[in-house]
Amino acid sequence: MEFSKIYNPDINETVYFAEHRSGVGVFVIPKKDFSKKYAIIGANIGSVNNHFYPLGESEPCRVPDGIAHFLEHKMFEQSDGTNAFDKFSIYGANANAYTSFTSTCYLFSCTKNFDECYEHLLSYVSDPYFTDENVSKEMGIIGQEIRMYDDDGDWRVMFNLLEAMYEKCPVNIDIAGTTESISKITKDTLYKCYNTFYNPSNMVICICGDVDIEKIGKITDKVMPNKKTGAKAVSIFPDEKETVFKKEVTQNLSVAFPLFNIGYKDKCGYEGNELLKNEIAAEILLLTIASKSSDLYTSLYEEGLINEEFSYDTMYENAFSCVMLGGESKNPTLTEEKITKYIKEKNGVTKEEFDRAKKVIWGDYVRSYNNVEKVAGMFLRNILKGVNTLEFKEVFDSIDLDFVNNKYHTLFDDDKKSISIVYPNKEN
Amino acid sequence: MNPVKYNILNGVNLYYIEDKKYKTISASIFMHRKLKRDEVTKNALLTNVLVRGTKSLPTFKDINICLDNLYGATYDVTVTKSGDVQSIVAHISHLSKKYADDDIETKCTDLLIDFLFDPYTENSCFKKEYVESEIINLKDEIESIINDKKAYADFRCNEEMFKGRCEEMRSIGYAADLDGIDEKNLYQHYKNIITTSPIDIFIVGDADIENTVSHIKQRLSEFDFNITPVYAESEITLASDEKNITEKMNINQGKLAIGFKTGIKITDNLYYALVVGNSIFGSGAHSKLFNNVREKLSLCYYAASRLNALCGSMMVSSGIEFKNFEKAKNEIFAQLDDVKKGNFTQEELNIAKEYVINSNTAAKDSPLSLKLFYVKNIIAKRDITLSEANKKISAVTKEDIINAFKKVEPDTIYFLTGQNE
Repeated sequence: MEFSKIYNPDINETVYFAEHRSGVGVFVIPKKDFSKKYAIIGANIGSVNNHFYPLGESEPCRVPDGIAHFLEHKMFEQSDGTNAFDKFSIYGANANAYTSFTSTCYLFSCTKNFDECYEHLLSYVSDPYFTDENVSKEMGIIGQEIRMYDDDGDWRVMFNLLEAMYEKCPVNIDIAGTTESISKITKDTLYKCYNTFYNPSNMVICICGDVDIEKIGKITDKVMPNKKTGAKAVSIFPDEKETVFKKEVTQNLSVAFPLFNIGYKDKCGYEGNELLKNEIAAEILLLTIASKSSDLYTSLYEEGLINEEFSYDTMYENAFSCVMLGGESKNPTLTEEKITKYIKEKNGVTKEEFDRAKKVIWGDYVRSYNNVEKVAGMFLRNILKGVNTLEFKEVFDSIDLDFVNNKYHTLFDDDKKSISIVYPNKEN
Repeated sequence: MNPVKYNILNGVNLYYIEDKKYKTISASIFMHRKLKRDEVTKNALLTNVLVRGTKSLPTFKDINICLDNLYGATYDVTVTKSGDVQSIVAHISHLSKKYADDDIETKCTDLLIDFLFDPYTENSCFKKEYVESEIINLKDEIESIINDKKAYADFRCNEEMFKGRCEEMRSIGYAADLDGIDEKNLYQHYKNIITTSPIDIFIVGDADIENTVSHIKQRLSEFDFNITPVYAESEITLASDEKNITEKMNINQGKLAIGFKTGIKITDNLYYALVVGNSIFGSGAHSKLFNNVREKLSLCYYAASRLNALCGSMMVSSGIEFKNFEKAKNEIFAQLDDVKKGNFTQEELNIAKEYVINSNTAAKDSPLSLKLFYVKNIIAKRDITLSEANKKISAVTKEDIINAFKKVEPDTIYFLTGQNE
């Protein structure tokens, strides 16, 4: 396969990229002098893709919640009775996989035997083997994974927030589903998901490290089909209103102090570089209002309303986008009041704050190239959501103060805001 | 890529790991103290107070605005525990000047030194408000240890395993010990430790090292150091009578933590056999715990073991259904028994070695892992490079592992179970 090459002088990095004839996109970021080599392959199926047109069928199908994550677990099962981890172990590599709201990714890192590991990665992800027996065996393991998160206050406070913000968008469902929903998963539904979403046209490969481009091409040719065998998967998402579903949601757990998370709902349906542009703008807003250099952080910290745990996050995906900020507080409702009031009164970002936030984001971006996992992960996430990550600098430069302030006024709207609180159990 | 040592002053050394592949420079100062109940909490509190302000940047906000303008340089001042040593550690990581401004390295080195050596003071002591609010924050942080149930179970198991010894202590200290601390006596404690504790400075990246070394020498020349060496010297003991402890909490999943004593020091010849044996037993997706407790019996999502080399202990952690306590425990012991008896194949042995070698080699890509590896060398009086450690791992035989695991015995079995169990 023929790779195109692009050199980025700002950060002194080169990227090779190509669309393989099977339809899978391949991105390679060579890193001489690094010991670790890393490869990740991602499919465009996450927990939100629970309603879709199965490959070759004209009627849409609704699958049980948590199936993308269940599928991820089952991909490690090999037809010869071994586990895909086994071969990686023999090669001395570290393998893993994860499922997010919008993607499922399989990865490994190694310091030798990269070619063998890469071939194995592509092979096992191309070769599903589901049986009634191995499906039922997994229920126990995933059941314990779900239980583990049930006790995790930080996880619960975030998922409860998403449930409050979103009425219909399936981001309101836990990634692993529930013990009840996964009990309905069968090998047939797993194959249906696999055939639709694990088609090379819905997948992307990113590789970073001291690797041989030519060999990567050869191995990809060897394992992946020599022509396109399917099409882009089509998922169905319900219409989600712009305002939040519920203003507030609470739960009690064994935690020392209340945990809170405040979310503001942005638009659903950003596409391509517009998505990245809005994501960066949202990061600038959060850096300005909620980072450790902000007035709000200082005053809440000094009043004892927040502690070091206070942080913020952005989630920008095609199917949904939002920002959240939160932490631990002895008085979460008063903290929310103060945050809301501050945002209203501040009413925008100054030129100085804007310039400073941009410096921080640029620094983070450059810094990510220090780490093979981070670079490949950043490429994969962006490409899977249709962002041309090679144009990061252009998108970054195109963001001006007006754009950010416009976002300030559309995003920070009371009707788009929810709060989730996890209170300590009474007996604590 | 082995560290080059520069002597700054008596008891203060700088180790430079030059690596031009990084786009950042990552610098850390480690200040070592013996872990003692009468100062563990003060040291933890100190790290929180030191980041509130320096003489040149008196507020938290000033510090963070300064760092934001330096392309979001990151910092952390914290306490760590290694065996019977508590270290006060200040880190800073910033873009190298190739990607930022020419003076970024000096500015960040100064800030790192300021955190430890030039804090904000009022009337010759710490600012009262800073100390008062950090006392509350630390008290809350100590209470919040129950939030992470796995970490809590592991901590409780360790506490019971080393009861009465300093290794039982947690590095963030104790709420009760915060009573009576004020801006004056904390400052006194600070003044006392700042010039008497051994200091190791690490710099990883593409630094202007000669310049940095002379700058640090000059900054520290105003202090009158009188440093006594500190080393990790935990007494390595064997397991005593097995202790069983069960505690209740309102939770959905039980947390099992089993503490073992290994009887092996980090400087013993058998230490590398212990590392490989631990990997066969419970570290990695190839391990016996992963393949049996999780994959075969479907009892858990995670079951893993890890070594605490400086304390001579090993800990197995797993999250299970309350009712599966006996089943999981028995399976963990059965797997340990197999390792002890040498019931593992040549392939399992090779895989475990490759796993450890891979993670050691990968550490060469992580400034933090490099620093932690070499600082452990210093406090354990060990002199080994990552590559030499890999050679020792390669040479481990089945007999070595059987020998090393002879002394590995359970000491404390801790189970965090449900309120109504």
